[in-house]
Amino acid sequence: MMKKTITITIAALLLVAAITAISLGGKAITMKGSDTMVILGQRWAESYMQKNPGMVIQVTGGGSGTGIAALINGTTDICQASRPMKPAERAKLKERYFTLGTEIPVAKDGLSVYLNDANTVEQLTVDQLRDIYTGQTTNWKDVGGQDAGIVLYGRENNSGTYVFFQDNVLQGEDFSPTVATLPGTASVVNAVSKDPKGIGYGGAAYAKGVKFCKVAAVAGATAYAPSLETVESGQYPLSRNLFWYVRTKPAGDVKKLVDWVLSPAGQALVTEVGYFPVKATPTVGK
Amino acid sequence: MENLVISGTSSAGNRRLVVSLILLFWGTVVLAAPSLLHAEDTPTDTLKERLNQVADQVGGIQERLATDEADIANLKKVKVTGYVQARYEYHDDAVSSPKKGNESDQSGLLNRFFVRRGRAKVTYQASSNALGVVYLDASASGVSLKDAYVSLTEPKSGLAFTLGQFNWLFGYEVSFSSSKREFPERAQWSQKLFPGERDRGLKVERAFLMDNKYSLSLQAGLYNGNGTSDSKFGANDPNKAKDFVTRAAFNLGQLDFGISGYFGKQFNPSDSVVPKQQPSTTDKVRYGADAQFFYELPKLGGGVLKGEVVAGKEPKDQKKPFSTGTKTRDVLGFDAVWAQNLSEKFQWISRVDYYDPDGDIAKDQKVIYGLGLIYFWDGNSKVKLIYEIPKAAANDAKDNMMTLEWVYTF
Repeated sequence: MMKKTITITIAALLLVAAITAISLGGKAITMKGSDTMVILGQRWAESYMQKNPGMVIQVTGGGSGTGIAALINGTTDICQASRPMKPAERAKLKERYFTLGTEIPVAKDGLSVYLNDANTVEQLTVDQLRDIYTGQTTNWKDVGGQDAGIVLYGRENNSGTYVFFQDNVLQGEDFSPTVATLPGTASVVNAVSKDPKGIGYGGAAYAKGVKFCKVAAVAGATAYAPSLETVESGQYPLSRNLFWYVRTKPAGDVKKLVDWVLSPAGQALVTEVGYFPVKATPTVGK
Repeated sequence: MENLVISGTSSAGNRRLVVSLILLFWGTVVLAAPSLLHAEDTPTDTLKERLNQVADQVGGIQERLATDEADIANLKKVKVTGYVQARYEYHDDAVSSPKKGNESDQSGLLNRFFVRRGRAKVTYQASSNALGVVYLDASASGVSLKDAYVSLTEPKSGLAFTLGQFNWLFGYEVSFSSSKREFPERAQWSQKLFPGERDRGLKVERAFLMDNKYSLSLQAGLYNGNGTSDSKFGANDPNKAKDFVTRAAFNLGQLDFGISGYFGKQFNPSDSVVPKQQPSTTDKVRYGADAQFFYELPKLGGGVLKGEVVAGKEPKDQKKPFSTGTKTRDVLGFDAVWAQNLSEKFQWISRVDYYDPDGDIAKDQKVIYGLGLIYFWDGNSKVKLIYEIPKAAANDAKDNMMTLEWVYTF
C-alpha cells in the first residue's frame, strides 16, 4: 500500500510539473545559425522588438550546421540556415521530437563569387568555378586573366554557404586543400579585397570593396551578376533560398514573428540588408 | 706633421708625440664611426626593420598553423560517442535480503541501484567510403565487445559492405539504440529471439534518396546465427549453414515502415539431461513488419505511434525431449508504443508488449504494460520514471516494477 502510494505520488508530481511547463510561456525567442543571415536576423529582431515592447529576441551566428544542431538539441527556437536541412538532420529531429520540422523560406540570395577589383577576370562559368575550387585550375591565365596563381578563400564546413557551394558548384566533390577557410562571409570579403589574386564566395549582402564575378550556367551562356531581377527570374545560376526552421508548426510568439518577417515590413528589411525578398508560406514537413 | 715641432722638446719626443696624436685621432674615428653611421638612420629604417621582424614571426606562426590544421584534420576523423544508463529499480516481489542459509540465491534481490550500460564507441572515418568502428560496453558484469566492424562503400554503385560484429538487421527495435529507446528494455520478442542484438557476419546495404526527403533502404546479411552471447559455442559457428537476414525500410516522412525476414538453421547439441536426444539441426525462420507514424498536436507537439510484429518458427526447448515429428515451435510477438511530447521538456510514454513463445502450449503468453514520463534535462541527458505491469497468462506473479533511469549521451 505504501509502495503504491509513493509511486502514485511521484507520478502525480511529475504530471503537475509537466502541466506547469506547458502553461508557462516565455517572451524570449532565440535565433541561431547562419552567418550569412545573422545581420538580417539582427535587423529583424531590432525592428520587431521596437514594435513589440516586452519581446526579447536573441540572435547569434555560428553557421547553418551549428544552428540546425541547436534546433535538434532544443537550445534554439528558430534556426537560420542558408541551405536546406539534410536527410540525416531531419531524421535526428524526428527521432527526438517526432516532428518533421517546418521549413520557412524567408529571403532569397544569389550566392556571389567575389573578385578583387584589380582582377581582370569579369566572368566565369560554373564549370570553371568548380575547376578552380577543386584545385584543377590554379592560374588566372587559364580562365582569361593575368599570369598569376589563384588564391582560394572559403568558409568552414559547418557553414550552409559552404555546403550549398559544394553541392551546387562542386557537384559534391571535395574542396581543394589549399582553400583558406574563414569563419564568416565578412572575413572572406575582407581577404579578397586585400588580395589581387584572391577569389571567394558568400552572400550577396556582404560585397563591399570587392566586385561580383558574373556567373554563366554553362560555357557560351550569358553570364549574370546577382541582382533582384536575375535572382528572382532564376537567371543567376547560384540563386538560393534562405530559411528559418522551427521544430513544430509555428505557434504563439514564434508564429507572430514569422508572420511579421514575411509581411511587407519584414521583407523590406531583406532588401535593405542586401538580399532579395521572398513571398512564401510555411510548408510542413518540407 | 713633419713641421710640427714643439719647442723645448727633443726630436724623439716630438716623434712620439706625433705618433700618439695620430693614434688618438684614428682611435676616435673608429670608436665614433657607429654613432656617426646610426645618426643617419631614419624612423623609416627602424620601422622597416621592425616590419621584417614581424613578417618573420607571422611566417613562423603560419607554418605552425599549417601543421596544427593538418593535425586537427586527422583528429576530426576520429569520433568518440557513447552513453551511460544508471538506474534505480524496485520490484514488487523484491526480497529485503537473501534467504537464510541460501545466500547464493540472489534472484529476489531486486531493490537496487545499478549501472545498466556504459558504452563507448570509437569511429574512424578516413574518407567518405571507408570507416572502422569499435564499440565497447562496460557494466557490472564486465566489459564486452558490442560492435567491431569495417565498412566499405563502393562509390559508383553506392553499395556499402560491412564485415565484422554488428547488429542483426532484422526489424526496427533490434538495432534501435538503447540510449534512444523509450523503455528500459527491449520488447520480449526482441530479447528472446535476438539476445545481445548482435552477431558476426557480412552485410550489404543500399539507400535510395528521393526528393531529398524520402528514402528506401535495402539490406541483406549473412550471419553465424548464434549471436554474441552463446555460452556453449562462443565465437564459433556450430553449423556450416549461415543465417540469411534481409530488410526493406521505407521512410515517407510522416510514416515509416519496414518488412524483415530471417532464414536460418539452429544447431541443437545433445543434452546430457535428456540422453536420448541426439544433435540435430532445425529451421529458424522469422518474419517481421514494423511501422512508425509521426504526428503533431497543437500546443503539445510531436507524437509517435510505433508497432512491430514478429512471427516465426524456433527450435523446441532443448530441456524437453522433442515430440515425435515436432522439433520447432511457433512464436509470436508484438509491441506497440505511444509516445507524446507534452512540452519541450516532458514526454509521456506507454507500451504494450506481448510474447507467445510456443503456439502449442496454452497459457504461456505474457503481456507487459508499461507507462512513464521522460524529462529531457538538456540536449544530452534525460530522466525517466517508468512503471511496468507484467501479466502472465498462468501463474501471474506479483512482479510489477518501477524504474528510475538517468541517461547521459555524449
